Order: sequence, then structure tokens, then C-alpha cells
Amino acid sequence: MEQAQSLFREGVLSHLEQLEALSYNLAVKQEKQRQEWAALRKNQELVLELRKKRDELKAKIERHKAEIQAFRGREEAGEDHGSAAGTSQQAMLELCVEELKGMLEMHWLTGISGKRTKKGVCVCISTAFEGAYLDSFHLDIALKPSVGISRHSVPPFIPLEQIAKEHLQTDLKKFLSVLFEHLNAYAGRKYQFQQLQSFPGGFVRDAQQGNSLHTVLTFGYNVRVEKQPFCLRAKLLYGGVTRSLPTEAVITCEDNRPSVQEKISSHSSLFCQNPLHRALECISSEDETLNHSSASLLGTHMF
Amino acid sequence: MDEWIAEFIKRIILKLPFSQTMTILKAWGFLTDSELQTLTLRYPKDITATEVVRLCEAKNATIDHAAALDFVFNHAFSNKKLWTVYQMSKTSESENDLFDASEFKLQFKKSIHAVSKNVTINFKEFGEALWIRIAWGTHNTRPNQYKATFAVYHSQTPHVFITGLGKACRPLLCQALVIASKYSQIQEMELKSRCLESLKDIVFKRFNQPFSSHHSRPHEKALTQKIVDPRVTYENMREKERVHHLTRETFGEGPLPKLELASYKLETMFRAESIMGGNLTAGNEPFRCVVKFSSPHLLEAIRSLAPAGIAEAPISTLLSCIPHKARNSFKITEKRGLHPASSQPTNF
Repeated sequence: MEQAQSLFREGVLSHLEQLEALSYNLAVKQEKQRQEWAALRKNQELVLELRKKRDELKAKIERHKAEIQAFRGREEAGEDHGSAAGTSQQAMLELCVEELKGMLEMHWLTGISGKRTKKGVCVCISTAFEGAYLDSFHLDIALKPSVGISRHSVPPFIPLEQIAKEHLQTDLKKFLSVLFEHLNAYAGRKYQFQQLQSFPGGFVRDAQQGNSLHTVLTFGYNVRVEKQPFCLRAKLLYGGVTRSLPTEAVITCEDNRPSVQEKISSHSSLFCQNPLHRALECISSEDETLNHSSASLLGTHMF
Repeated sequence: MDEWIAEFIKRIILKLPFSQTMTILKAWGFLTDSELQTLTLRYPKDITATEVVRLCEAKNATIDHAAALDFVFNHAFSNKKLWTVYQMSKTSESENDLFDASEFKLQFKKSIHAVSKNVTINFKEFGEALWIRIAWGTHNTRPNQYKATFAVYHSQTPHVFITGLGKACRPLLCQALVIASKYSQIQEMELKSRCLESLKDIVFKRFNQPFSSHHSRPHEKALTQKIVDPRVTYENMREKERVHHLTRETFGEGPLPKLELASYKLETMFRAESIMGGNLTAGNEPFRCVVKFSSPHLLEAIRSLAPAGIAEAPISTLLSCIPHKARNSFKITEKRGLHPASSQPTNF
């Protein structure tokens, strides 16, 4: 009896247990499914939302592009009609600025030009001789607290401190013009000396300058008088520091013949009145032709 | 010809490098071209030197000729010596007369010989520059030709470049220069270098200094990119251009004078916030140290600091003011001290 009961019990109970387990599993599965469904639905909604946002943004971009196109179209239409639209005014301003810039650059050609800096003004002195522009020298002048030179590129043998002491405090223009004369004359003499050194042919020999300011120049050259060659030595003295032509030309020759003396005096006046390389050109060209008198010589130079 | 002159000439020839021997001898001008052609140039140089000495003996070379050779040698190899710059000044302003070289030489010789007769003085002109060679001797010794002092003077400028000057002879030389060139005093500048031409460039302001002007110089070029390819873009282009612009404003384009050394002597109080600093600032004594920068070409190196990214642009004015202030030896003290360089310690 007991055996049958326990067997019966076991069978039913186990069957019940099995059914219970089954229903539990089923319930769990259903729950899981439900959750997955919910998540899926949520994601689908999210996707829909993002799609909507994307479409909105795209529409915004299109709108902006259309606006810009419309604006540009209006601009061109405005210019075509010749009305005072923003851009044509701007173009005019740009033209004005270019013109001003060109004028400021051109001022460099006048010799003295300047540019305002934070502390004062930076002056550029550009030197020239007979149409050829030579070196430029700069000065940084501070205007406050008092007028003074802070930096400069002027060589030391130009008496800058002396000129500054005399004129800088009282009259800036005078100071600049005096300095300009000195620098221009120095650059002119240096240029003539360089031309002398590179004079074509072996006409000129042994060119030497006596000092840094180029105020003493010595050289030798050959000249023909009555078909005989003579060696002359010339010494040019530039007495005025602000002049680029010599004040005194001393020409010596070992031979002292009257015809040579004549030549010497004419040459010396030639050197004093003309730039050096022109005078030498004159002399060398007269050397080539045979019959020349001093009168016609003075008539040939045209500068 | 004396034995010691022969030895002196021989020593100079031995110092000459092989390739330059002929050029130097030609520039000397004492031996004629035909005599020069008889010389053989090969190792060991002893043979060439003895041949030259033999030719000189035959022509009775004097100390003046030997000094001329010394001039040519030192003019060609002026970068073997350390040159110092001296500046003369006048108290009274007198009009500059035309400089008379012979007057200068006469006064110079007189001034030196008035104190010491046993001194060899020679002059030679190289272009605008007047070179003076002085070999010093005392009462009982002959002038030492091997340790001669050289002074280079450009007329109508207040500067003299001197090398090889001993402390004992300095007052005499300075006095002679001042008297001969008609100035009233002379002072040593804090500028030293091996390259004589660069010293002249700095002092005569011959190098390309940057100044602001409306005239755009034709040689100023914009920063170019090394690789030009549409697939390559340059980051930080603006920053690079800014650095380039600042560097150009400070140093200008073109070659800079050649200096080898810059030294800064600091005598400032040590400033620190950390605890470690507390010990050093305990005493109220200035912190002493010397900072030396050396390079084969110092100014070029400083110019390339900012573009290479090693330092921030703009470069400290202590470094960039070297060519403008014409000095490469600075002393930095506290603010109350008065001297040209800035007194605040700056960071590079």
C-alpha cells in the first residue's frame, strides 16, 4: 500500500513539478519577449525621431543656401542697376588706399621720406647722383619726451652729432636738409670714385682715395699731346663737404712743356666743373681725334 | 741682413698655408716675378722658406721689408687674432680738416719715441684703412717682432681696431693714437671678435639694419612653402608667418656681422617662489653668475632661434640689441644701477 501510495505520489508530484517548471519557464520566456518587444518599439520610435530631426536640419540648410543665393542675386542686380550698393563703395575705398600707398612709396624718390612709428618718426634719406639712386640711410627720431636720435645707419665720418647739436632741437627740417646735403654729396663722390675705378680701358691707372669721406682723390692718366704720350697725375680736392664736385684739381706732369701746361689748365677746369666720369670721357674721346685746341675742347662738353 | 730678420721672415713663410704662399709673396711685392718663379713649392715647407730667405739676403732686406710681409700676412689672415675696438672722443668740436696721413704718422712716431726709443713702428695703407704695426722693446731688449701689436685706423672715424696689445703698453699706445688723430680721449668698447670686417660692419653701421619705412624693398620676400602639392596643407601657417615677420623686423634680411661670443654678467637678486629658493634669497647678496653664448656665427644663430622653434618670438632684447648697441659683453644689475643693458632678468 505504501509502496503504491509513494509511487502514486511520486508520479503525480513529479508531474506537477514538471508542469510547474514548464509554466515557470514559459512565463520567463514571455517576460523576456515582452521586454524585447518594448525595447524594439523604443528603438523604432527613436529612429523615427532622429529621422525627423535630420529632415528638419536638411531643410534649414536648404533654406540658408537659398537665402544666400537670393542675396547675391540682389547684389548683382544692384550693381547692374548702378546704385550705391555696399561693394562698389568698398571698391572705391580700396582704390583710394592703393593710391595713397603709391604716393607714400613715391615719396622715397624725393630723397627725404618718413614714417610715423610708436615713439616718433623714422626718416629715410635716399641719395642719388645724376639720376642713379644710391644708398639710403635711415634715422629713428624719437619725438617724446624730447627730440633725439635713437638709432641711425649713418656712417661715422659724417658729422652727425655736430649737425644734430646745431639744428635738431630747433628746426627739424633744417637738420634734415643739412644732413641730406652731406649724405648726398658723400654718395655722389663715392659713386664718381667707383666710376673712376671701373673706367673702361687702361686709360686711368692707380686710382686711390685719400680718406673715408672721399674728399681727396688721386689718379693717373695718359694723354697725347702732338702725338706724344704723357703721364699726368691728378689730385682732386673736395673742399666743400657738401659738394660733389671738386674745388681744386691739381695736375702734375714730369715734363713741363707749354703745350702740356695748356692741356693741364684746361683739364683742371674740366675736372672742377664736371662730374669725374664725364670729364674723363671727354678727355679720352678728345685723345682719339688728332687736331684739337683747348677752345674747342671747352665747347664739346654739354653738361 | 741680420740673422734675426732672416729668422723672422722664415717663421712667417712657415706659417703660410701651401695654397696661399704664392699669393702672399706676390702681394708683398719685394721679390720680382722672375724670382718667384724660381721657388719650388713642396713639402717640407722648410725648403721654400730657406729659398725665400736666400733671395731676400741677396737683395738686402731690412726690417721694413720684413714688416711689410708681416702686414700682408696679418691682413690676409686677420681672423687668426682677436680684435678689440676702441673709441675716441673729442670734448671740443672742431671742424674736420682734410686728414693728412703723413702728419698722423709723424705725430704717432714722435709720441711713442718720446717715451721709448726701442720700438719698431711701421705703417701700411690697405684701401681706406691705415694699418700700424708696433713691436715693443725695452731699454735692454730688442723689440719683440713676434708679438707685435696691430692697430687699424680709418681716417675721420673715431674708431681704432687693435689686436695683440699687452697691458703694459696700452697707455702708451692709446696716448699716441689720441695725439696723432687730434682727439682728446680714448676708451675701450665692449666689443671683441675674430672677424675684423664684421667689427667694422657693426661700428660703421654697414650691415643691413631693419627700419620701418613706406618704401618696400625689392628683396623682401614672403615665407615660401617647401612642398607645393595640393594634397599637403600647412598647419600653423599663421604662426610661422608671424614669427618670420617679427624676426625680419628685428634682424632684417641679409647677412649679419660675424661674432663669436656674447657674455652676460648677472648681478641680480635671485627671485623664486619655491621653498628651495628661500635658502638662496636668505642673504641679501646679489646672485652672481656669467652666461656665455658662443658660436661660429653668433648672430645668425640668434636670428634662427625663433623660426626653429627654440625660443619664442620676439627674441629677448638682450640678444637682439648686440649689433645695435655695438657690444657683446653685458653687465646686468638691479634696477637702480645705471648702465645700458636692461636690468630686469628676462626669460628667453
